[in-house]
Amino acid sequence: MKKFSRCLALVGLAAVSVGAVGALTSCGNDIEYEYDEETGEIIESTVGDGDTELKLWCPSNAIETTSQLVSDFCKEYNNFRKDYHVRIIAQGEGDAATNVITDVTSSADVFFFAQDQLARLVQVGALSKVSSTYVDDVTARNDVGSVAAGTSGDTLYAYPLTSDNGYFAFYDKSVPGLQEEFEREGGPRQEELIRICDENNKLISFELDNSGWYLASYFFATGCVSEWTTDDDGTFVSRVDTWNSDAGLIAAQGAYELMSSRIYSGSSDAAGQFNSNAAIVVSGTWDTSAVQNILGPNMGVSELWSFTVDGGETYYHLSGFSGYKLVGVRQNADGNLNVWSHTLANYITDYAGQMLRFNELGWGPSNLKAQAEPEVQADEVLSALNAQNAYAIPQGQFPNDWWDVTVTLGASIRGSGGTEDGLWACLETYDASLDSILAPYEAEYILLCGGMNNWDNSSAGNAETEFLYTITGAGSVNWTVEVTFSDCSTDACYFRFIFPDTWSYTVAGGSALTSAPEGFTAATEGYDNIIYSGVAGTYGITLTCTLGGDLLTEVSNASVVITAHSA
Amino acid sequence: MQTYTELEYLGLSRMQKAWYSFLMFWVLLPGRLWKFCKFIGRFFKKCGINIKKDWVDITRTFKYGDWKTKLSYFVLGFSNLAHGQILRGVVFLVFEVVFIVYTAIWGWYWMAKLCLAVPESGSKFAQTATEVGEVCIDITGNGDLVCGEETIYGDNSLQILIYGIASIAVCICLLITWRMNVKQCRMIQENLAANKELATNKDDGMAIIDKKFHVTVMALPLIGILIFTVMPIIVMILIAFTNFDLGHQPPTNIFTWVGWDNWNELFTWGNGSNTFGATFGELLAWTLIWALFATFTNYFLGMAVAILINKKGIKLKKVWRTILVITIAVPQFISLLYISKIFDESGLINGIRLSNGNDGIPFWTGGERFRGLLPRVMVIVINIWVGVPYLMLITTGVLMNIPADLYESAKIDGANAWQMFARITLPYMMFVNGPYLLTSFVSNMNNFNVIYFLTGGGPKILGENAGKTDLLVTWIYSLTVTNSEYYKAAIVGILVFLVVAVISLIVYQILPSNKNEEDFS
Repeated sequence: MKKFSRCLALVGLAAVSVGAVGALTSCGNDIEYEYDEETGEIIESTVGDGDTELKLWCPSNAIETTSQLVSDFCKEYNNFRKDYHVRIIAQGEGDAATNVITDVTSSADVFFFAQDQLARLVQVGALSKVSSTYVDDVTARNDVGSVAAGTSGDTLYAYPLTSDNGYFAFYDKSVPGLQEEFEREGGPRQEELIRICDENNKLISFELDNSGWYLASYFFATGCVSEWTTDDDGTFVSRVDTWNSDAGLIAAQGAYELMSSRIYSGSSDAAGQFNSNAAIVVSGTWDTSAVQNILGPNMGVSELWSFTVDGGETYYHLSGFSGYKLVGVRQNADGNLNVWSHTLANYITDYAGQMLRFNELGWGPSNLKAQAEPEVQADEVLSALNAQNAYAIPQGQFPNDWWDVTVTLGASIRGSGGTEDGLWACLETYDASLDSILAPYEAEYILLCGGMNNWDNSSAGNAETEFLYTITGAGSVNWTVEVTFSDCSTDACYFRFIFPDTWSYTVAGGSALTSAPEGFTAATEGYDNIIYSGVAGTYGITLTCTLGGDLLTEVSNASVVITAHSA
Repeated sequence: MQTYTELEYLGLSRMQKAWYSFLMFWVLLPGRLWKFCKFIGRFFKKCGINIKKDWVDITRTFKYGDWKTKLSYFVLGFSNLAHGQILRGVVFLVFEVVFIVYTAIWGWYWMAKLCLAVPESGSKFAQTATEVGEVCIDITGNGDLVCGEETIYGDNSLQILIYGIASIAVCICLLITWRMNVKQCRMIQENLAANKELATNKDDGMAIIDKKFHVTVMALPLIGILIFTVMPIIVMILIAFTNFDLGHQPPTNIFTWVGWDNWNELFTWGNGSNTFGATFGELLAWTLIWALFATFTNYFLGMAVAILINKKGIKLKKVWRTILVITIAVPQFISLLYISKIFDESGLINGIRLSNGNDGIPFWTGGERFRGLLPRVMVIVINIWVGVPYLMLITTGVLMNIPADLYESAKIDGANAWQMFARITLPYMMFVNGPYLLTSFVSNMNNFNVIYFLTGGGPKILGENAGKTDLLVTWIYSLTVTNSEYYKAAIVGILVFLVVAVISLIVYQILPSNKNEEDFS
């Protein structure tokens, strides 16, 4: 009866309203769709007939598959069917997080989103941790990158949905010479692609000057890193960023070469670009069907290309992010609803759901078992993406501001004029902006001492050698120290390391003395003092400090020789 | 500097006159500013005097009042009730009861919480933090527990801010009502002493729809403005003094007062890592330049088109006007998006250039030379295209209103076309359209559509998610929607208001329509 009245209400609404929304197709089925009157697209569906509503946001093209899965879910869980109904509403993954953040309490209980939003969502406190019931299974059944994408600190906050959110190249096979270049042994080359497109007056579209996500492909290619770590609350605690370096300069030069060519277009709107004048567009799987419609059999897909600077021999293969899509469950004052939301999110991201979406929508699975299926392996677009993923790095967490700073970097590289000075200026501005995102920490220092017989510092040659480093930041550092003792009987020589006691450390090789020998001065308060008996050798020290800020990379290159003297 | 008498001034050449007025503006500026300061000083002095007067009145009414009056100080409307003015008395009394009930149940709580103290502060009224606890429930009914989380939401700082301010407003209302009540007591006693009759309930009832009808009619709109306009503005201003941003966003996180720290951040310039102040400065300058160009190019070109079409001898006047007006019929954002695509790197124009073997023109990204200049010129030029039809319509009306005899007599005196324009048309137009220009300048400062749909603010090279063509208002949009930096947006909002207010006041003072009201009437 209840369903009938709702149908009646909806039909009435459709009949009365002259608005865009309203038509209703099936009342007999347990899925009720609502269509946009103008475009005929599905914009909403309702599954089940319980009283409590569970709201789910997913992109409009995934509404049908999701409804199907939810309907299966209802069949499996009778309790759920009795008390709940699920309203599935169209909401793109790109905007989902922003909408959740704007008003957490009235947003969807379960939503699809792109992984770059995870830290932001965790920081606002919008996401509920992955249920402890499912967490082990979720971690085991999905690929490592996708699990990392859903993790902040040590906590898994979201269910991996796809492993296809990276980018690769779409190209138009009808452009003379282009297919040959893309199929070249050893991969395509940037200067050749530019030449071919220039001859044919066709564009290369790559959103470098307006998106750090794409720009990173050049920087990661030359070995630059930008790693940010979050704690469990989504707050950023440390960073290692080496873009402002010689390797970074090469990357900037490579990106500038493309951006300064007359056939460059800074866009990733594949459909729009191919419709106008593009030969190559760097974009992702979400554009596959649109490009297929435009290019038809002429659609080519490939990994990205390599570039070199100043006509050098060394080619750098473009890297990038292998990105992921996730399903999040929002925090909820209603515990029951939250538990059901987790159960549902777990259900629709499991093997069956991922295979369904692969078959219907071409979404690349993050599920290991699904990835191994022959039809997934045979998919042309996914193999291009996989080929590119071999060079890409899994996208971790980045602060929201980083994306803005990299947009500025890309735009300013484009306008730099391409001189070394100009590019250095861009990189330095970028580096300075990082400080405003996460202030460097410069308070602690590490003191390394060479110790010797009886610790008599007053006699010449016995003085401790101090190596003072300012460490700005957190992270871990491996440090190899070569300790050489000359002329020293085993139990008469010692050396020691002194670290701030908030750091943790391990020393490989030898074993520390449990009690200090006679004559040793204790370390200052707040510092730990580890003392070794003097056996010559190489000791690897791993330091881990949890402070916050930047990691000083110089430390990892330091090699310290401690020479102790005989009494 | 030498000052001229009026006669000497009239003897100057046109250039000298212009230069003289320009200098005088700056010479007189400090004096005007001082006057303005004095005005503000006087305003506060007046306030002080009034408060003192009120206080004296209140104490004297109490001192010389009878017991009914004295009791009225605590039981509002008692005096009215005792003297048969039931209607007034009941209104006062009901208001007091409502206030007491409201404050006892909700008001005091919100006001106490308004200190927005963090839980660690140990304050008695500190905000409670949100807590998340694990719950495991046998949802399937087969004995297997499934775990999830239950969130116990703590205080919502934004709610506290809004309700706290509302509660304070209610207190102020009570104070005003109480003051009115005291006045009533005094009036009753004076009237009784003078043997005058008191207003009856019937009189009061009639007054609402007769003598005081304006009050009845205005009450609802006034309340609406207070709740929907004034309150949000106050809350927004206060947000500028909190740390309301992504990491401190209700309902899961709380925010707190930080005083002037945010403003220090704005006024710390030139320090590489801090770009908020520098970005604000650059965008403010561009916003003013944009508003100036957008207003005056549109106005003069619109007027030129209108004059052209109005000219005797032009045929098919209605056709020309209709053609221009048709562009208004297309929704602005559609034409803007369309134009944006045409000039895009892969758009129509660059597509044609490219297939002819020419280099593309970076209309929106600005290219290497003149960073940002090209996009800025582009938005101004395109805005002319969008805005001229409106101005053509507005000015056509005014142009037709200029008395033809003015031109006739000018012609007889031998004036040429330019002289007629400069001496008759322009002054007349400026007189009529001066206030329009002012409002149009202000609305151009906040012209979100043109910028957002054409360039989206890009090229984004300024940091803080701001670009070369961003106006302050589009920057506020990206600060709030993309970056969730609410307190920064609030600061920018306040400053935009200040800039607009100052410019409006100054310009309004020197407008001819304000100065010489009688000139053209």
